[in-house]
Amino acid sequence: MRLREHLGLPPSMGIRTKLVLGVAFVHLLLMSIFVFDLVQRQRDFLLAELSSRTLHHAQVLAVASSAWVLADDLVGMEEVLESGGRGGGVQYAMIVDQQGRVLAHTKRENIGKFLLDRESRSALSGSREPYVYYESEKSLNAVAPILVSGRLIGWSMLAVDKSATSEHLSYVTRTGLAYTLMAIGIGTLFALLLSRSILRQLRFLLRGVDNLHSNILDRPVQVVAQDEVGRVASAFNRALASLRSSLELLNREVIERKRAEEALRRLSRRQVGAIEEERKRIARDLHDELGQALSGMQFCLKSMQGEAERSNSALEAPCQKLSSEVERMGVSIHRIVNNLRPATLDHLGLLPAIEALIAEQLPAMGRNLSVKTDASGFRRRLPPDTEMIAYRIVQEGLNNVIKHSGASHVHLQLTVNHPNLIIAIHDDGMGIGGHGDGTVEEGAFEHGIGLIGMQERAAAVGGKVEVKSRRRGGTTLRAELPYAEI
Amino acid sequence: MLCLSGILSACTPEETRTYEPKYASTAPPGLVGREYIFAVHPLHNPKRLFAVYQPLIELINERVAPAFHLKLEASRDYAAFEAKLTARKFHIALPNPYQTLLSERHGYRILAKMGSDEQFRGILIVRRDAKIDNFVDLKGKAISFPAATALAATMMPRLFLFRHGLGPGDFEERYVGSQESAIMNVLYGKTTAAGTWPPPWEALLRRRPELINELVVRWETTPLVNNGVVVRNDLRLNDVKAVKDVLLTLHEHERGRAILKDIEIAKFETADTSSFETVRQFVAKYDAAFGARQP
Repeated sequence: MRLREHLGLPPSMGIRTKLVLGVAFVHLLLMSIFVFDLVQRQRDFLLAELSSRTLHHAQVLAVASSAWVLADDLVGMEEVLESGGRGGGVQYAMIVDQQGRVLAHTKRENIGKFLLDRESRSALSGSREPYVYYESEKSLNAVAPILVSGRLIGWSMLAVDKSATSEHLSYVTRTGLAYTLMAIGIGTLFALLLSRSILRQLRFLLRGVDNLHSNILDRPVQVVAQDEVGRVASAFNRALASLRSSLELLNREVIERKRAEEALRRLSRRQVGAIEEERKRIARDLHDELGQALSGMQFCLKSMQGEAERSNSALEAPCQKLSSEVERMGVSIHRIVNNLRPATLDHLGLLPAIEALIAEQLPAMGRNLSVKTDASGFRRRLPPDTEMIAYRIVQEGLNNVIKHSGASHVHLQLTVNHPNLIIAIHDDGMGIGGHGDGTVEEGAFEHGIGLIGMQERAAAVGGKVEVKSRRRGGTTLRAELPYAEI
Repeated sequence: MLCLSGILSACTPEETRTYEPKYASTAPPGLVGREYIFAVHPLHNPKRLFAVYQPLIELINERVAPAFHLKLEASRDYAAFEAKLTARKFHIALPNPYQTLLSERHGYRILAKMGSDEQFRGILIVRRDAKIDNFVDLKGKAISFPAATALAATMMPRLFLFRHGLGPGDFEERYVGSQESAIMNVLYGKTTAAGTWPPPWEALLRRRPELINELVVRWETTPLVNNGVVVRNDLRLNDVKAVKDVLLTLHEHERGRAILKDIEIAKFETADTSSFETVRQFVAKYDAAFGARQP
């Protein structure tokens, strides 16, 4: 388990907080160990020192009082206690004989009495060396034998107050705690300064990442450190510059491509326009010149046929046949002219032209095909180019349905949704091969259904053509043609 | 917080019970039997005196147990000894001859005396380099004595000097408390001469033989009767007899002889008030020379 999880720290905790908490915790831990050890050592040292001092004190009393004990000189013993039994935290001091009778005592009311308690009695029968015979929270009780020529003549006993030691330990502890807090404070401050130094560069880096996310590539990260983070920032700036350079190159290529596309579109438009103009000229020529000539021929043949009929000439029959052929030629020329340039489109607009197309083409194909037409948004005439291209797309689309789909129903939708004219031709035919998502792979119509021609026409006005088809699931042709309001 | 509580607990002593000794006015049963104080006048400093006489006390205690036991007691100085003697604090005492006579006036009776009377004489010690060859050389000088009532160490040398022309005021008398102290004053040049008697001088030479190169006994007095042994007149006769028997038979066994050797006498002898007649005469002469002293 990670330490963070073990400590229950939230995952969103920042680096600064982690660093500060970590440094504070380490300082707390180390200083606590140090202070604990220091206090323990101080305690051991002070108690040992107090014990040693107390034993020495008892020994001094024993030596100093030996002559007076020999002389049973109570005044002399009192003088010894007066000089040696005061100060240094001495609670009491006394000289006792071998039987435990108090010969001198810093508390005079005890002189002449006998020691009664178990601890004291056992001390008097104990070692012939100075030793601590009882230690409590508040005092240290020591005894030293009074020896003369190796013979025991009494004991010096004293108790020393340990409160000074306890107070010193308390002082050491308080000082240790103060130093601990100071260390934590200094460590925390250091961590703050360190984190500020580190995080400053990181903040700049983070800002740079945000800028990158916002596609702002012209603001390099400010490099304020030469450490690892600073090197990362420098590398980020280099990467940013490289990205900016690549993007600029890409933009230039895109612009050039758009320009090329636009040029291509203009060229295509001009080509389409030229084709249409040429068709229009051919149609006009056919109509005006060939049609007029045929009309003249028809007039002459009618006149010749009338003459032959009146003169009962044998030319009547050839004239009649020739007149019929000329009339049929006239009809063909009319149909060709209409195909080249439907006059309905020029004079009545897109929808009437399409309706005329449908009315003209379906019976001509002799097929049992129903066509449903929906149109919406047609409040005014569209630009002539748009109408012509739309007409040609519908014409080609219907032609494909008739020729290849085997469909029985066709649904034609024409929707004007400024700034686009949307054409949708959906049939229930056998469909054509394509991708799993229904789109038709590029080239599928190239040779049979004229998709490229439709796309080129649409591209001439900035539009596009899509075909979706599923095998035995019908085909949908969708064209979007942008237009400008007239 | 765990760490901090650990630090605080480091200052917590394990033993929290308080302790005060308890006292009783009477001795615990069977602790103290009948005890007699055996006091020796300040022949030596208390520790030396204890070293010399405690073996005697232990021997007596062995012999008289369990009827009673003796406890040796020294005194700070002659004055303190005499004060306790006149106050009848001691049950048995070993005073000097003058104090022996004094004790009779305070309810003591003479039981015995130390033998080797020839040892009981005063001596005057000077530095070898002090150029003190005649009594007149001491004129105007300081002489250290243990105490005014030290018979052999003070009174006998003083009367000796008096008889040789050095009366009161011819030299400065310095009473320094003990025999050893008197000798040390000469050794370190604080006084020109010291009055003492042979046992402490010889004991000092045994401890520090090199002193013979610096100090010399220039004069010595004629001997007098040695120290007496007195008992308080209210002691049980059987107890007194038991002590007397041990003392008088010391020289008859090895352990006793070793004790006597440390005391620097051959034996203890039976004595009574008549044994100290020469002392009474000396005191009379001394009083005549220097005036009567306060008892």
